[in-house]
Amino acid sequence: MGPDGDLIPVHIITGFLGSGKTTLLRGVLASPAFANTAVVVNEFGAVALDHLLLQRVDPDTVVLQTGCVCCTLRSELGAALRDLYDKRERGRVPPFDRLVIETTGLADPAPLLFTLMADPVLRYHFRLGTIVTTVDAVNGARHLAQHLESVKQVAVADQVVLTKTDLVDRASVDGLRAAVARYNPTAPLFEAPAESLAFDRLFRGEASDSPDQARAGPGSPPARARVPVAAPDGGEHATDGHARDISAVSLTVDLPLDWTAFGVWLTMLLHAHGENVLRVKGILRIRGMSIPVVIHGIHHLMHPPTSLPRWPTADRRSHLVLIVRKLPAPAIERSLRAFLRLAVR
Amino acid sequence: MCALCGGLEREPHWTDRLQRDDPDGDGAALWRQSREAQVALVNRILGQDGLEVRDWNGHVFVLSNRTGRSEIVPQLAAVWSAVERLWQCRCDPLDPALVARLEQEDGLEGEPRRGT
Repeated sequence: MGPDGDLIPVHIITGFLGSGKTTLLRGVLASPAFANTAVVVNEFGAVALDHLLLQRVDPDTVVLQTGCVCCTLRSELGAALRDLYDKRERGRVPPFDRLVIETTGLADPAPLLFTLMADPVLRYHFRLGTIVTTVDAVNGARHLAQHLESVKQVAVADQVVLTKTDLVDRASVDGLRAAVARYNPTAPLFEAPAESLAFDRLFRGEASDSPDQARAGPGSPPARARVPVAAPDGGEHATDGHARDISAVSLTVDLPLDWTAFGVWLTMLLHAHGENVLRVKGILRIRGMSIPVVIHGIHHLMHPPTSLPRWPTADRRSHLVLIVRKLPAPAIERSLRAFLRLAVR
Repeated sequence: MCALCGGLEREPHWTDRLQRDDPDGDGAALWRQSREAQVALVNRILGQDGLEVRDWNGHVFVLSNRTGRSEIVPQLAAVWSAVERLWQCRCDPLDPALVARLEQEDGLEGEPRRGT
């Protein structure tokens, strides 16, 4: 298989129970731009109700009946995708150009992403596309405060869609935006149905889009925020201890990074703390390179670095975002600094 | 497997997959330099007498200690686990003692800073 462009992008729609994943998926599938889309729906429970809503894509739909996409289903998901690809190659299903997986509302998306990124067969045929997370404007703040799964779903998102925003007042929507940004400051936020969603923009097909490029247009300042651990001001306080311990740490490096030192540091960090690193995103200025390098990772697994054709803004500094659990930001910052200095000598 | 040296082909680690924008550069030379730099940095971080990491032909890393005990690992990410197995230590870049030692060696103020 050739470069990434030959691989079939796999987009993920995740979000907590009742957050509007299926509604979003139906909208995507109704869009002419997504005509050649295969769908895998992961159901939780005995009856695949959501599947009934997706009859239009039934020939390409694989329904996973045995539970959530967490560990127990990883092998089944891998098998389902291999089977789907095999049918595509044999002409038994239309030659789909992309795949969308809708996860269960209770799923931690990380195992699913592991399967896509690490399965030795799948990664020769598929590549991780965009992770879109739906957050319900009515119940989302409560879900984030009470359920670690909801926080993880937001933390891994490339894009976040706030749903049911027409059912609450503006202050509630703004509060939810702030709550989401605390766990993922780099993911662009869309509001549905207030905003007409441009699905081709929502699913850009590249997991490698830079965090700053994603949020801001050319010339706009990048998102840079070290987000505190505390629960949303004036909002509900996290009752799930794990969720309360999650924070986003943003680091900026002014000078070009030494790739070797950075790689040594990050592999060591992920070795020691990968289970507590929910997400790594970065746009990096590497010494000896004129174009930016983009990195993405989830827990212990890093996506191969990619480069952008040009810098998305006038800002030429490196920006690294780590969404972590129980890891102190000052220690991360100090450690990175010490490692980078090793390469300067 | 390489017919000449017997080295097993392996999947490149993400740290080995940076596409440099130097089309005229010598890819093999850059690879060797990168491996040498990785090894030098890892040995500085380990910083323990008798522990050594070496590159073997650009294929694998070889860890060895003074008693001759050694282990072969395929990629950088696996070095840390092997070090912990062989020397019963913990490889943690956030370890304050490790960071303090590295800072003491350099004696310079760092450059990254958190955003606001």
